[in-house]
Amino acid sequence: MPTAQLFGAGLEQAVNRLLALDPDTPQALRPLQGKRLSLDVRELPWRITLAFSDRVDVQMGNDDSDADASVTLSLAIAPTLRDNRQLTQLIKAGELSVEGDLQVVQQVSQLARELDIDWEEVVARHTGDVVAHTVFRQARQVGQRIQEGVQRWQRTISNAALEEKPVAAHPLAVAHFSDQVDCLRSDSERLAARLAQLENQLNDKA
Amino acid sequence: MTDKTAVDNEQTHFGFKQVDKDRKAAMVADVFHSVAAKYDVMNDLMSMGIHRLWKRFTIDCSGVRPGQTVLDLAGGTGDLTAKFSRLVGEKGTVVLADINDAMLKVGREKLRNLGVVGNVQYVQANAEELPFPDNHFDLITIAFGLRNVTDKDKALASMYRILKPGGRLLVLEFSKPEHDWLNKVYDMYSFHILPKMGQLVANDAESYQYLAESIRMHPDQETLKGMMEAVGFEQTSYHNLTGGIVALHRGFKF
Repeated sequence: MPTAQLFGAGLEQAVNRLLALDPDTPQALRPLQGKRLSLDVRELPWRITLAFSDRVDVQMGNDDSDADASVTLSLAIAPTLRDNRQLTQLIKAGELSVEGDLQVVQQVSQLARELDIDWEEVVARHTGDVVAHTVFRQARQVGQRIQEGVQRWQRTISNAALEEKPVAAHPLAVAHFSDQVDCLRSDSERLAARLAQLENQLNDKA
Repeated sequence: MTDKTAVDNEQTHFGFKQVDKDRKAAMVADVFHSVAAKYDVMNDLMSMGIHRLWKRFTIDCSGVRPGQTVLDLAGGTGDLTAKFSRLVGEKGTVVLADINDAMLKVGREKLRNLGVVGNVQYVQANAEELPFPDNHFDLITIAFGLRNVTDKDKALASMYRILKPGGRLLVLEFSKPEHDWLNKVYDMYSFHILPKMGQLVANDAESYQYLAESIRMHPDQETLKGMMEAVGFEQTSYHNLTGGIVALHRGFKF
């Protein structure tokens, strides 16, 4: 069975289903119409080419020298590509290599970033509004409670470490110690300067 | 080079039967008139959906670019055309050609329902006498169609004529499995299960019996490669898929 094509078919299906969930996708895809972006993902044995029209077509293993842009990256940094500002940093750090039209990469990054899916609406299509609203409200409440719980734990651990069992230095003690170190450093620099001056005077007299 | 399966100038094969050459096209047409409505369903059932991956592989090997002109010959219900239409974009053209008007109608309706319009043309054409100018297409594909053509050498020559210099031909077709055990399993499936599936789903066992027989009568990988070279194609090669049950042949015109 052609494994690459199976992977490509799954990827294409997933990408287009996801894009179809955002009603603004046709408008967002317009600047990319007719463009091709090839991806060399270090962890995968095939080159992936994305061809943009009113949807995204995935081609596998294509020796695509005619792509508008070619990107080499690892899977680990793929999520960060949604942030346009990080592209330059990633290129400088050697984690991302781009050949061709950088604007195409930026437009794809923008497409991913601006993808706005109303998951409650998506679920409501299958379950009805009431069920979807209830499920999402409860999920939000659970999420909020988890977040509060995590913050409470962070505070408790912090207090325990600083106050009850002082295994870590208190921030005020650290600041005081730093001030003393600064003071000692300037004193020793002053003393070194004075000694140098005295040495010069002795040399002049001699 | 002559198609190895043709008995003489008057007769050719239709599955395992020998028929008059001038009758084969009409007999094949009858088969496809009969299966047109259920063609896609049956393809999915018979191949367990793998035909979609074989077609994807063909598209991945096509090297097609925006603005190019593509001929999807024996394009049937337009599986390849739909994708080519998006890949060549507004400035390109895809011609979906089939000898069978029933298949062409099903294909046209399906593609229009999918919103594939604007850069697709539909032409009823015989692969042996393609009604297009010389050096016209950047790419020609023929997927699961060549084995139904009466005079394959003539059809390949006709494709060569209308292909632009630098253009490529891709022939996706059933072929000869690479392993004996696979051949036996495949034979059992083709001659015992396939016609029964055809009877159940399309109420037509005979057409699917023909399908199995026509696959066995089709030239194997090396023979087809030689036939392509004989009409002028260069850098010809083939890639076996699913153990050689299907092969994708590729040739260029320079």
